[in-house]
Amino acid sequence: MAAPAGAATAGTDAPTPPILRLLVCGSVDDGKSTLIGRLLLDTEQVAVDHVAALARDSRVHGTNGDDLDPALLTDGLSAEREQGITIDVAWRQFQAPGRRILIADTPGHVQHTRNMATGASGCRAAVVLLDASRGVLEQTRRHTTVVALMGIRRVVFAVNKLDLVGCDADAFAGLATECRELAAAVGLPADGVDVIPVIARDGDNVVRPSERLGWWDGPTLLGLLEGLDVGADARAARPLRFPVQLVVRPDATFRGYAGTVMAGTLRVGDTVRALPSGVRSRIERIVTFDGDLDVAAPGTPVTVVLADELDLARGDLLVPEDEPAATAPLRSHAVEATLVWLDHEPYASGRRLLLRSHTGTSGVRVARVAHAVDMATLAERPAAGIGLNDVVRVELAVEREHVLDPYAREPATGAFVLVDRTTRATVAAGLTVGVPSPFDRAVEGDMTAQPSLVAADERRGRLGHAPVTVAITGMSGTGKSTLARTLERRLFDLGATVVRLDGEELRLGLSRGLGFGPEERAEHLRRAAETARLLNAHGQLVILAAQAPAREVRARMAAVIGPDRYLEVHLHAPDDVRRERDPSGAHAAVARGDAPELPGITSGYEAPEDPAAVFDTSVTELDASVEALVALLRDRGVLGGAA
Amino acid sequence: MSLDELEAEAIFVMRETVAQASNPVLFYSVGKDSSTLLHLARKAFHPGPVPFPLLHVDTGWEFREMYAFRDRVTAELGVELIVHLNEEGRDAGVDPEHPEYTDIMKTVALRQALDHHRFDAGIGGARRDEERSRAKERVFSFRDANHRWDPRAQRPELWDLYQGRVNRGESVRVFPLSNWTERDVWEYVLREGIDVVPLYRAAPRPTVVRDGTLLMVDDDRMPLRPGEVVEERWVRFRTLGCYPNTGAVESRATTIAEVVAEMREERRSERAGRLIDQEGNAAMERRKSEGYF
Repeated sequence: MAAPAGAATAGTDAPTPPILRLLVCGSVDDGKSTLIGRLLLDTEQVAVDHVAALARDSRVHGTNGDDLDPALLTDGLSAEREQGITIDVAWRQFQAPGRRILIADTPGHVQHTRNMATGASGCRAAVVLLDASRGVLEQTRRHTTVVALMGIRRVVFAVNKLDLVGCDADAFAGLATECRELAAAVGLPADGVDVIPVIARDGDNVVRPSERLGWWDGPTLLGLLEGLDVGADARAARPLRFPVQLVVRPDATFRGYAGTVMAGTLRVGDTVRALPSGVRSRIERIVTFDGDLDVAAPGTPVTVVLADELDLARGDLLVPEDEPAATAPLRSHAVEATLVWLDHEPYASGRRLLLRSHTGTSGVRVARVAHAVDMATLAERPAAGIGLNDVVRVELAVEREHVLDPYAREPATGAFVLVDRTTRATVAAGLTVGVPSPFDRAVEGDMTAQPSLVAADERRGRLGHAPVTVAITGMSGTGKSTLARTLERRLFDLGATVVRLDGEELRLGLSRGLGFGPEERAEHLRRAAETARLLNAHGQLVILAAQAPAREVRARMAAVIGPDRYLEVHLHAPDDVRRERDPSGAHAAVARGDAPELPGITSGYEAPEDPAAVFDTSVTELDASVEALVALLRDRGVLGGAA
Repeated sequence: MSLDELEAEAIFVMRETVAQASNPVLFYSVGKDSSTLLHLARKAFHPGPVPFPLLHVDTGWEFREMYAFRDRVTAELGVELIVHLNEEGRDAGVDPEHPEYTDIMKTVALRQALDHHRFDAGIGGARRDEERSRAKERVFSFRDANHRWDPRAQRPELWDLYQGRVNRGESVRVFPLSNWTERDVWEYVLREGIDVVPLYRAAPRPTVVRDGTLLMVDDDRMPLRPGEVVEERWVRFRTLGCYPNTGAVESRATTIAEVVAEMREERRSERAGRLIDQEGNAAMERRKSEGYF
């Protein structure tokens, strides 16, 4: 079917900005369909026979007297023409002089948050329309919140019907301030927000500048949209995400993985890691119909040939070989996510659901509903259930370990849908927040703690000290274990009943089998903290020595143990000193390249902001640190009486 | 580069269809949109073969050049072609003059073919710019076991996580060209050097004017009405269907490049030339809910 290649001269394909996928939303009667119709009419995008049909329709259904009613151009279904409202998401292509714009026209009434979320999911920018005579309404808030929730970071507020407030510049300025405040309140970046005056019915400042709005020296709406930067280039800067869509295997000699580069860059010769297996291979070829590529940018559909026979399947994800833990995809059976419920049937436990994302499909259930989000105020409130148009934060239990990114970091692999296994209907839109902290994990069943018959005062009277946990944190090689052991000896000699918990020692038993990734490390520390809490509850003094590199996790440990009983001690020492000491051989292992992970070296260590004590162990002598801590415990009234 | 983005989206959609459906098919009407779809399918699955058959719902009233083109192209590419004609309709003498012609020879015929072959996904060339009701259509558009489209019960379509799985008897219609315009198709045909039926290029052809529309007299399948005079005119077609219902436009554009140049100036919708679409505003919506794709 190929014609001579020379025939294919693509005309004047000057570099144009990427297609703008634009959500247009507004409350009922704000003039949304009118605005879209006006954009189409005034850029002469409407075929003459469609204009003729519009003229006929305008006389029958129109609300604009004998003039054309632009709204009727986009209200596509006869049912909604009769009711005069848009009942679903309508997509409109439209070629502005400088850019292809693809508009999602979404309904404004409150019960259709569902459709707005659907429209927003495909868009990179949004126009939120409001009626100047009515100002910022609850609906406007809801729309802006959904826009922000769905990850749109470029928003234009179009203040419509300015003729109803006398085309007054001050009235517009007041509304503009309100819009910007609203945008800030829902977390939109200030430099991603514009406010613009229009009169959509007559076309003022939509495509053409307006005389009535002569005081406005900004762009027209179309001018603004044509130049809108939606950060398409940012995708290339993020780490590689290539989900396998299809295995292409025409014969025994060729095995390729078809898919689209979702983020980052695919390059021949690069080594990649395949998830969930974790195996590595090199990109040998990037195959397309038009010839092999050396490099494939985001958005490019290709077929990848790897150097090794890995036997990947649909849903497997290629990522950079050396991606740091901080950005690497999450792999978990438990997923914390925000759901927008789209189904008329509310969620009921026992409903059989599938989670579907670019990284695969798995059975799933809602393990816990943390809270609902009020779309008008963004406030969290208790969730009674999950019904149509509800936005809820949940913890999902996924049958097959799922590979996901937080939606805010990587929408392509952070987005998912929930599908009813029986009807196969899409029932919810999901945005991955992360892996739930082990500290938040739901308690299964109805469990109760039994109160002790021994009071805390009685214990204190017998033991002669108050129960606290001295939590010693720091990177590997800062001397945590040494300090813990010496302090234990010293406190024992002072007559205290003291228990030393060493992180490494706990990994020999209590935390056996847990790895060093963020989630498993948090679980390890949760167990340590729970142990310390129990010991404290029974009057014991606890010394807990663990790296505990994450500030957030240490805060959770403090909460488990009780803020009054948690004393944080931070140890640090210069790099060369720690490397020299290398008590567990971890630094040497990292240097050899076969260590899994080492906070402060291969991943971050977040120093405490306000520790009870801090020592540079390359400067402070061990005994001096111990005496300083004993003095601290005396100061705090922990040691007294017998000690 | 809109075309690159549109092409990438179409390829993604086609791959997704094959990944999810158990028995997909490509609706092949022999027109430029079908030729574009076929080209995209070759790209999507390269270096493998096109992994689904083509289904041509034949009314028996297509232009002769369309049959010749169809047979040549499918043979050259080695793709499987299924031709279905509603034989009961033909035997009952349903011709383009028949009031139920579109329903019997297209809608019913398509349902017959889908039921017979148990296809669960049909890839079609419909675009959202064609008609107002199409703007509400999903890329993966769900049809119940009676092939009905219910605009109020569409599956929400989020991100590019298309939901193509269906239960037994149900199906999806898949529209990879949803976001394309007619002009995009032509620009793409030009850029990619896609082979299309010669009727898209202007040539002197025998024509009559009927009800204000220029019709080509392809052969004696179309009886002339009293007073109609066959005249040779330079014409080409923007859309191709059954020839007694498909209007031509006068043109001297003999190459695809010239056609594209004319397209850039065109102010009428392509369906302006189709008699069947002028029945009223809700015509398309009604036909769709009855199973016409």
